[in-house]
Amino acid sequence: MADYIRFRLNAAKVGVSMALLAAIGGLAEKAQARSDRATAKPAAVGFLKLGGLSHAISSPLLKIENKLIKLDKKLSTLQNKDKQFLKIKDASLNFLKIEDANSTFLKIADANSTFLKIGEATNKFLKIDGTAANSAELGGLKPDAFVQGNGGVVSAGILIGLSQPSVPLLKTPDGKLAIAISATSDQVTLNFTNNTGGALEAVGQDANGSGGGAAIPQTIAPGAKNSITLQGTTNQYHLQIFPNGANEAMTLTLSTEQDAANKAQLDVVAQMLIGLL
Amino acid sequence: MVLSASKELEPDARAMLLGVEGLFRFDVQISGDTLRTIVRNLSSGAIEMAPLGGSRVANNVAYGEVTAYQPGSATLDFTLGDRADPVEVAIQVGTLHLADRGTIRVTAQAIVRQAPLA
Repeated sequence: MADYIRFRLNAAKVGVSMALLAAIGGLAEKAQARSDRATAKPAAVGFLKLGGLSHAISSPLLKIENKLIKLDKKLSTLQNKDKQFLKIKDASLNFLKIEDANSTFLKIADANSTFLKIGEATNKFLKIDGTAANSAELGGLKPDAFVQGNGGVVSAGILIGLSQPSVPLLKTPDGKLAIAISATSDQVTLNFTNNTGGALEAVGQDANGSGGGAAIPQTIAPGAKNSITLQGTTNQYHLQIFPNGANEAMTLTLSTEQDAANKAQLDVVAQMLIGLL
Repeated sequence: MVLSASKELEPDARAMLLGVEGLFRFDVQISGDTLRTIVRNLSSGAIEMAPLGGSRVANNVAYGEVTAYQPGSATLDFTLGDRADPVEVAIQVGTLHLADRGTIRVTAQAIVRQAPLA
């Protein structure tokens, strides 16, 4: 833009010079030749030589030259300003208008009233991988305020496939006794894991058992290698576990039945009552 | 002494679950969602029932898809027998609704022991 203004100014200077030189006849051609160069050079360099002209002619030309110099200085000033200040068009491309920013971005004051500062959040809230000081408490009570696996009822209902590996059925809340189950097409096997540290004496009553439902003593030894096999897949089993090494009396009731929708599966439902001694 | 028994009951049927000769007999009856318990005192002394929901904590745990069986539980405590040698009984009852068969399996456990003298 500045170059264009400069060009127009130089052309204007030449136009003025041409008008004056036309009045002095024979100098016109010389002036024309000079003006051609003036378009390609800085204004102060391309002006006419005034030597040999009468004072009446040279004086107005000097005034014109002075004015052109002033114009040239103003043009330079404009060019400098052009370099110093951003054009609106360029600003529009590079910068967001305030009204657009208002509709797009949240003001700091509004953000402060809506969002918590990171420093305050750190002081108030627990980090994702942090551990709360009261994490071991429930309702303000520490673990020792609650029954530790003693007492209550444990119920379980699962669907197991025949001839599949043993599936966990239930365990006491304290984990001292866990029962898993597996089945074939003609029998059900209960696998006990006794973590009490001592043997558990028990009496089982198998509805399909050889004794016609008579109570049969069982011993559940410490460890995981304990199993009781029940005949048939549709069965009712009742097991009373006596506390020999534990302070609980456990009563297990187990019902098994082939699943109505899929005969290759067994519906198993069990309930264990745990009484405190 | 620990007693336990399990029976499959028709709705509204009353059945004896536990009994100790000369002490008590414990019957249950389930009507809809209500479990009714009946304690017959067979001892020579008076029976004293503990308030329901007293000192014992109901601690129920469920595994797997047992919700369909509507597991339920109840506790009942009482003291009976001779005043000089009272016996306290803590009974726990568990129920499972076997919808396919239209019955309820009721399991009861009683811990019977000598009560501390008042």
